[in-house]
Amino acid sequence: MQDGQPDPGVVLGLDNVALDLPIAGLGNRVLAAFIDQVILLALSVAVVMAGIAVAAAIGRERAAVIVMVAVVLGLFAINTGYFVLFEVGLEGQTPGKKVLGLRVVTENGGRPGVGSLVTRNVLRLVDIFIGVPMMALDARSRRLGDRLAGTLVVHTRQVQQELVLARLPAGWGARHAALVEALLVRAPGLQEARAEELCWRLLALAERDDPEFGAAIPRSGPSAWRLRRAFLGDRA
Amino acid sequence: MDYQGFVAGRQALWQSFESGLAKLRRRARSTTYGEVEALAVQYRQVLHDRALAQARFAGTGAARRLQRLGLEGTYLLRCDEAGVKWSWRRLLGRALPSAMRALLPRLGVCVALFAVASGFGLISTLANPDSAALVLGPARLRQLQEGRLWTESITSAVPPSVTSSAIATNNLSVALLAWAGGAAGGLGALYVVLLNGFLLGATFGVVAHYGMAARLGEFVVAHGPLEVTIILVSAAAGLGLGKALVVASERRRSELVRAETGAALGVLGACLPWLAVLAVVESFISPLAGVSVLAKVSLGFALLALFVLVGFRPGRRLDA
Repeated sequence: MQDGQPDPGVVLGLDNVALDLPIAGLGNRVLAAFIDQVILLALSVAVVMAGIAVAAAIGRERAAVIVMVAVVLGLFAINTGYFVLFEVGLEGQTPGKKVLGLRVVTENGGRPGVGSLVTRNVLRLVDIFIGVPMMALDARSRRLGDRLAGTLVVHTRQVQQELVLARLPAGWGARHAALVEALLVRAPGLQEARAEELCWRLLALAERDDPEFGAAIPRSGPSAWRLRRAFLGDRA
Repeated sequence: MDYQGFVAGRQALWQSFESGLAKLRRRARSTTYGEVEALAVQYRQVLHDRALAQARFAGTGAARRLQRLGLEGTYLLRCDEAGVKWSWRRLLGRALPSAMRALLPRLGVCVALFAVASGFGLISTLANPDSAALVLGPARLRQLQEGRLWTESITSAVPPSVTSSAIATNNLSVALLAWAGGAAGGLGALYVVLLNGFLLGATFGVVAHYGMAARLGEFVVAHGPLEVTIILVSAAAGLGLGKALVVASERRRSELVRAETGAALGVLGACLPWLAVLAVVESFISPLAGVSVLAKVSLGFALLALFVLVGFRPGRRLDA
């Protein structure tokens, strides 16, 4: 919260408990839309090619006409129904959104109804022209369809891996816990010598602050592994 | 409470809630009321834990896990839209007539604007026949100069069934654009009304200049009245959307827009079958020379009357 204004990415759950919505930005959304358009194009080409192949195989003029009608209606259905059907059927995700880990939710973080999903997708007709600038100017990256349907697009993937420590040395608080958890998550990506040194220093601190805890730390093995065993116990 | 005690005391609940959510996601239909109720209770406890973790253990893995569980629980358990059971009976019996009647004042505006634009188009091209090429394009103008209407080749170049599906999809696109254009403060809807009105009037003006207005009238009369009406109904719904966005009221704009959108989607959905019927009429009946003008006029106005009867019939208000 800043200057009395609520943070644009915060929603209030039951009993006004604040939850941070990981709102997707313009880049991710445009990329997801691009992937969807590529799939749409491929589907359209496939329908036309299949129509031509079936019509050629049948050979009779009457059957070819029926195939042409099916192709025209099929193309229309694909182009107008793609986004709505996928978002309704795949819990607010199109294939493009699924690839990038995005999802449509209501402004309160809930599951949008069919009416909202239809509305935001019908308004793509208008958003083709104004959607991108509107998203760029909005703190919650909403295009017109999102504003009118009351929806947001959020990330479904966790930015940081969750690791909850099973035990802590006596006297250690949340800041120490956050430090150990962050190191355990990031250690595999660090230079081995650097990771070993940081883990070793944390273990030394733990032993100093709580000798009883220190006694339970394995005596041999790489420091990163010992740190995991010491703080995560059997879950290491 | 220290972090270790918090995690040790509450982790079983978080695990149970996470398993419940996974089950709800996998097998929502087989989840019992009791299970959902238990999940809702756990959801509340998880949110309270989340508040505590955010205040006292910010940045920890537990706080992150509770944030994720809170968001997943909110997504799966919270429904912001009132759950009115959908049925054809409700749509056709109450929702549609109610929404259509609410459109009447704006529909009147659209009809008036369409009439003005048509008159303007008609007078413009009658007064200045040289502007015909701008309206119809050189190919159609050439056909007119040769004494032929382009409508005669609509179904001779491609089979009528193909033409009808193309016409149906095109009409639907125009209707959708007329409504969605309302999102630009109503300007898009007005644009569709004025453009279509102008084009209709201008086309008749050009054709009249070449002495073929009666033949064009014979072609359009079977499908035209209802086609124009549906486009105007869509535009009227679009104007409602624009009004909700522009005009200030006691309710929030987003609430008004959602209410307008819900009603308009019902109207547009109900127009769909009519557009399909019109496409068949336009492809198979309108071009037929063997059908009398009287029959085409009767068909055109019978379709319009049926649409009005089904759509605007008096009945109970939706909120009654």
